[in-house]
Amino acid sequence: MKITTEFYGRLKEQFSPEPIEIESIPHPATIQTVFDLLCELHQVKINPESIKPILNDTFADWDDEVKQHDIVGFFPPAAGG
Amino acid sequence: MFSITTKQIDPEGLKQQVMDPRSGGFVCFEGWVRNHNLDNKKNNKAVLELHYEAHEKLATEVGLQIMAEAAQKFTINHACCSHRVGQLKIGDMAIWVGVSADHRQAAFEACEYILNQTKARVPIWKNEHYKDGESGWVEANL
Repeated sequence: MKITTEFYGRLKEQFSPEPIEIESIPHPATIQTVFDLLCELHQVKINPESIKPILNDTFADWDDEVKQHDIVGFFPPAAGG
Repeated sequence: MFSITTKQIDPEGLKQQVMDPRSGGFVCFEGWVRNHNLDNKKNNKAVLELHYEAHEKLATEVGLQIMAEAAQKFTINHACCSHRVGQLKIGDMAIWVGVSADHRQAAFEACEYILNQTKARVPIWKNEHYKDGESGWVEANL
């Protein structure tokens, strides 16, 4: 299954400043599966409690299922103002 | 009203949006880019500029939700918040919050609520660029 992942804020430095297409996502998979795979690929340890996932530009839950061509994004804690 | 903008914030224009003959006062907060900050290692660093980025769709969605909450929680007449994104220089205004109300207490409280909730919840992130050439993503300062 092929999906696109995108990163915001400091996660751009830890993963990628540009969206990444991943073709090796197993089916079925959840957002948590995708995040674990990304952490393994990039060899980073991040507490998922500090991250908010989004799915196709909508807030999502870690156990939401990911489908072919979905766009999965990850927000670090907000820091505006 | 809540907006994300790449343009310079126009405080007078925003103030017009919250003026109301019912209101006995108006409270406003302007957040500016300052020339120093503690980096992630708690060193005081000279700041050159800031780069703000946002997920515009969700930032607007969450921002509007915060404005609706403020209208429910406090007895206010109008509230408005605008957050700038992109490259900002020292002294540039990053955020403007304005609230008008019949009485001052509600206006002060609503203004602080909107500011604190925006900093904590709206998907906006800032990357500080320091004079020594380094840069760093800033953690939420609530």
